[in-house]
Amino acid sequence: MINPAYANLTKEIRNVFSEEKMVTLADFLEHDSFKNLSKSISKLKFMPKKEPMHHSFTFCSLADSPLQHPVVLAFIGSIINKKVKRLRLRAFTFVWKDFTLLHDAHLEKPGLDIIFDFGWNQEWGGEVFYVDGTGAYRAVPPTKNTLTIVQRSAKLHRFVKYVNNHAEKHKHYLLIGCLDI
Amino acid sequence: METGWIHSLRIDRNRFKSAKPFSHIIIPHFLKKEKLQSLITSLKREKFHKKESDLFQFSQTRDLSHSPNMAPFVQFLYSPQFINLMIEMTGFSLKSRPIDIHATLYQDTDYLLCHDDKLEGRKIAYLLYLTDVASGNLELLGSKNGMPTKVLKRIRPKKNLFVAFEVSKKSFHQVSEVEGNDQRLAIGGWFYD
Repeated sequence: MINPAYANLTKEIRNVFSEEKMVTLADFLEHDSFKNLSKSISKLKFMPKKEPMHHSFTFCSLADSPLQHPVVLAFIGSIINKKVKRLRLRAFTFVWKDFTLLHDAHLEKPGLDIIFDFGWNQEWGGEVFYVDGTGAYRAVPPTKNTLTIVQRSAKLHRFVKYVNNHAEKHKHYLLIGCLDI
Repeated sequence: METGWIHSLRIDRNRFKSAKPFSHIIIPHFLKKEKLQSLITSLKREKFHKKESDLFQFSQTRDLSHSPNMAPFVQFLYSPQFINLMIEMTGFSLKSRPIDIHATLYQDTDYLLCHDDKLEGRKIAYLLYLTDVASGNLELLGSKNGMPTKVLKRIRPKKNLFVAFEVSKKSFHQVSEVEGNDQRLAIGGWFYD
């Protein structure tokens, strides 16, 4: 399920995460697992959620995706150095004119975020950003089959940049979740 | 009313007050032709800086109220004649200073998402468009229970079109994304009470 190349890299990845509070793992799933996940995500029934002051996207809750498999949770646990009980995960699609905003009423509690990308052109907007209120920001690479783990402190907040007209009819599929530890 | 910068205007306060979805006024052909041209020429000497956040992406000048290039236009905005015109149009008691003045440039993929402009003391937001464009509309949204609902009015930017609206908890507005080769240049800011 997980790219076997990662099996011997746990210690190095754990060190990066411990220092950076964020780590991105490219080619995370094996080819077939990624293919199956992509196929199942594209068949989901997404619900629109639109509030002009907060967000615009479609979403669907996930309960039994490969990312929620005990093997994957154990691997993630070995990186964050904590036992993972559960991954609460949602699939999202962002199309032209979609976005999320930082907004006091919608700010989440600190936690451990999981972001999985199915591939996207960052020139089209729609990237996931983390900001800490000082003007500094970190972008989550929107590359295919990439898992990013982020330790979100009280000061760190996430938003998805507005998707611009260059996206035309493309859909940005994303999985975003929070780890229960 | 004659200030040297603008043509005579017929003041109708009711037009501002009764506008939907919230109080605003739209005045085409606002500045005299030669004044508009000198304003655009002055602005060309100003630097525009790219600004990005979750809410917006566009380029903006610094506050122009102390810019030597812009002094004649700033003096016009500060003039008792213009302040009185704004007071007569809106019915609000407005201070002659400070008045915020910035120029903004929206190009392909630039936008400003929904917000209300509400900040301590801001009473009137104003905009003067300096180019004709097909995108980058100013969109005014309706509201219910203090939250924006949907776009109820779209104002297409047109050269020399002046727009002013009341800043309140329900003045929800946004700028739709600029597309293609459009260059949406405008000057604007806020009057305070």
